[in-house]
Amino acid sequence: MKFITKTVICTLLTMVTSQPIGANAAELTFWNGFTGPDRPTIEAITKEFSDANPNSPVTMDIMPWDSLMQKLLTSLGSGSGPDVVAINFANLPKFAKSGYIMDLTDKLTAANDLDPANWSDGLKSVLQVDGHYYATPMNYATLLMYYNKDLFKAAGLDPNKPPKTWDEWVKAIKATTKTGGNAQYGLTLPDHETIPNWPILLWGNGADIVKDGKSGLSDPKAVTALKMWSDLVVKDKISPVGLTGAEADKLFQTGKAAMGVTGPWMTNGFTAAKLNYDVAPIPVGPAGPVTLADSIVLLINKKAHDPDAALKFIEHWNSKAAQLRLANDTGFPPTRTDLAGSKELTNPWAAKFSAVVPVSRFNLAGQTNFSQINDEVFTPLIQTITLGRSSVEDASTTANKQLGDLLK
Amino acid sequence: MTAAHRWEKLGLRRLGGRSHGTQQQTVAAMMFLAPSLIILAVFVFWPIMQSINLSLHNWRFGEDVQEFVGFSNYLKMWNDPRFWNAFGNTVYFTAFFVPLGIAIPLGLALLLNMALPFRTLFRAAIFLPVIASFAIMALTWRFLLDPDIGLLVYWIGFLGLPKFSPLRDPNWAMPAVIVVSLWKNVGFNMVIYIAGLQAVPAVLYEAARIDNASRWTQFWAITWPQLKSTNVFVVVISIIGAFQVFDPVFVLTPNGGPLFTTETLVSFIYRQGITQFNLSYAAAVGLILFLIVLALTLFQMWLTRTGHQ
Repeated sequence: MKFITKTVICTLLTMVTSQPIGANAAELTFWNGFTGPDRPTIEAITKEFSDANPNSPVTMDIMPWDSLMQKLLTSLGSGSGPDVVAINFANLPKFAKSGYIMDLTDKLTAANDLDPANWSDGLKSVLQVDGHYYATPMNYATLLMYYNKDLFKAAGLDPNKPPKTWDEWVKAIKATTKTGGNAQYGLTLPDHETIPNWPILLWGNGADIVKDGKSGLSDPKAVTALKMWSDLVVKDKISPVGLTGAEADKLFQTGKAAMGVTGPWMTNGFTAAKLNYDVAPIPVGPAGPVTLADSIVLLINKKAHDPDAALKFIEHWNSKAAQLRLANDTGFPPTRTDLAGSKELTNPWAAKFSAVVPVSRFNLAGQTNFSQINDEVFTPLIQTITLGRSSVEDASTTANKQLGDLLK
Repeated sequence: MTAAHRWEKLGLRRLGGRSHGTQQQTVAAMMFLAPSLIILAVFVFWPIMQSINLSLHNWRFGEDVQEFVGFSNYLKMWNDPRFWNAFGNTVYFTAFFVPLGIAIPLGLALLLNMALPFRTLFRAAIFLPVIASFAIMALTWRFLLDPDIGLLVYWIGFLGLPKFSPLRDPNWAMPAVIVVSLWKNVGFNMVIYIAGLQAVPAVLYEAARIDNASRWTQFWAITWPQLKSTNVFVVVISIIGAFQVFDPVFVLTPNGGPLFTTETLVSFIYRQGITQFNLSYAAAVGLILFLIVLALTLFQMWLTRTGHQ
C-alpha cells in the first residue's frame, strides 16, 4: 500500500512540475486563423522571423477563426495562452478591457517599425482603446466593387467604364439583373456571416449605425438609404435575400451575379475560376466616396514569457519588407501608408485596393458590443426589411430602440 | 475441540476470510474505477459545479473579483424573448424530429427485415450518413439546397416548381433542418429496430398465421408490443439528442437562421457564451437545459417502470 501511495505521489508531482513535451522556454507561440489561400505567405513571413532570430523561434498554430476565439477566451482566462495572437480589430475592445493583453503605448516609437505615423487615421483609432494602443496591425483590407466584364458587355454596358456614382450604379445593376427561371443578379448584397456590405450603403448616404455614441438607425438619411437599397432587392430582385458572404462570392464566381462588393482575398479564387472581371472603387453616393476597412491585428499576452521577443515579432510584421511581401503575394494593401504608391508594390490588385485606403473606414470601430450590435440588431433589421416582414420605417424604429438600449 | 467448535471456528474463519476478500475486492474495484471516476470528477462533475457557480455571478473577462448576482441571470432568462424563441424552436424541432425519427426508421426496419434483394446494400446506404461527420454533411446539404447553384433546386426547376430557398426562408428553415437531421439519423434508429425485430420470437407470428391474423393485426398484436423496450430506448435517446441539437442548425443556418427561426437552446448558449462572452448567462441557460433533459429522462424512466409493474 505504501508503495502504491509513493508511486501515485511521485507521478502526480512529476506531472505537475514537468513541462509538456515540445514546449521550449525560448519559443514564441503565435495563434492566428489564416487557413485560406494566404496561409503560405503567413507561414513564410513567420519563418523569416524564426530564421533571423534563432533564439526566439516561432511556433505557429493556425486554426479557424471561430475555434481561435473559443480557445483564446479560456486560455487567457486561465493564465496561459499564446504569446502573440491575431484577431479581428472588432474584438480588440473586449480583450483590451480584460487586462490580459499588453498595453503597447510606450513601445510604439518612431525608432522602430511600429510608428503610428505610418498608419492611417482609421487604423490608429481601432488599435486604441481609451487612448492606449493595445494592438498593431497585421494586415489591412479595403473593399472594392468587383464586376463581371462579360455580363457588362452582354447587357450593353462598357466593361471599361464601371459605374462611378450611385445613379450609374443603379442603372448598371438593373441592366444586368434578369428575373425568371434563369435568374441573374445585378449585385450581391450579403447580410450575415460576411464582411459588412450594408453599412457602406448607409455611409454613402451620410448615415451610420452608431453616430456620436448614439444609435443612428432612425436618422432620416439611414432610413432613405435602407429604403432605396431594400426596394431594389425586394421589388427589382437585384440580389437574393439572406445571403452569406461565401454564397455571394459563389454567385459572382459562377457568373450568376454581375457585381459584388468584397475584399482582396477573392482575387485569387476569381482569377483561378477564369472569370473575366475587374475591380473598381465603390460608386460614390450623395455623401462622397467611402469603403469599408478591415484589419487583423496583433496582440501580446501580458504573461508572454519573452515580451521583448514578442514585440520584435510584431515589429517584424510591420516592417516594409514583410508588408510588401504580404501585399505582393495576396493583393492586400500594406498596413503602412508610406508604402502606398511604392514602386515595389508590384501586385496590381494590391495597388488598386491601396488606392481607396484614404476613404476607407471601419465598421462599428471601438464598440465593445460589436457582435451584439451587428448580429442582434443590424442583421435582423436588414433581414426584416428584405424579407418584407416590416416596413423600413417600423423596422428602423424597433432597431433604433434596441441599439439605444445596447449603447446605454 | 468438538466438531461444532471446529465448524464454528472454520465458519468464523470462512466469514473472516470472506470479509477480508470483500474488502480486497472493493479495493480492487475502486482501483479499476479510479481512472474513470477521476476523469469524470475533473472533466464532468467539477465543471458542472463551476457552471452552477458561474451562473450565480456576473462573470467579466479579466476581473479579479466576480460580482455575485444570485438568480438574476435566471430572471433575465425568464424575461428574455430570445431565450423563449430558442426554447420554442427546440420544442418545434423535437416535436417533429422524435416522432418522425421513430416512424421512418421503424418502417424501413420492417421493410429491410424482409427477404428483399440487395437488402444489405440498402441497409448500408441508409446507415452511411450516421457515420459521416455532421458538419461535412450539413455543408453538402447547404450546397444542395442553394437556390441558385444547388442541385436539388435545379431538379425541382425541371418539375416546373417555383424557385425554392428553404434555408433563407424563415418559414422553411427549420423544416429543412429537421429533414436533414432525420436523413442523418434514421439509419441509427433503423439498425436498433432491426435488432429489436429480430429478437421477436418467430413462433408468435406462426401462431398468428394459424389464426389467420392479417399483417396489420400481427403488427399491432405482436411486433409493436414486443418492440416496447426498443421504443423506450429510441425515444429516450432521440429526445435527449433533439434537445441538444446544434451541429445541423449551426452549419446549415449560421447566425440562428433567418430572423433567428432556427436558433435552438444550444446555439443560443453558444452565441451568448462564445460569441458575446456572456459566460454567466450562457451557464444559466445551460443549467436550465440540463434540468429539462434530466426531467424528461426521469419521466421516461418512470413511465417504463410503471409499464413493467
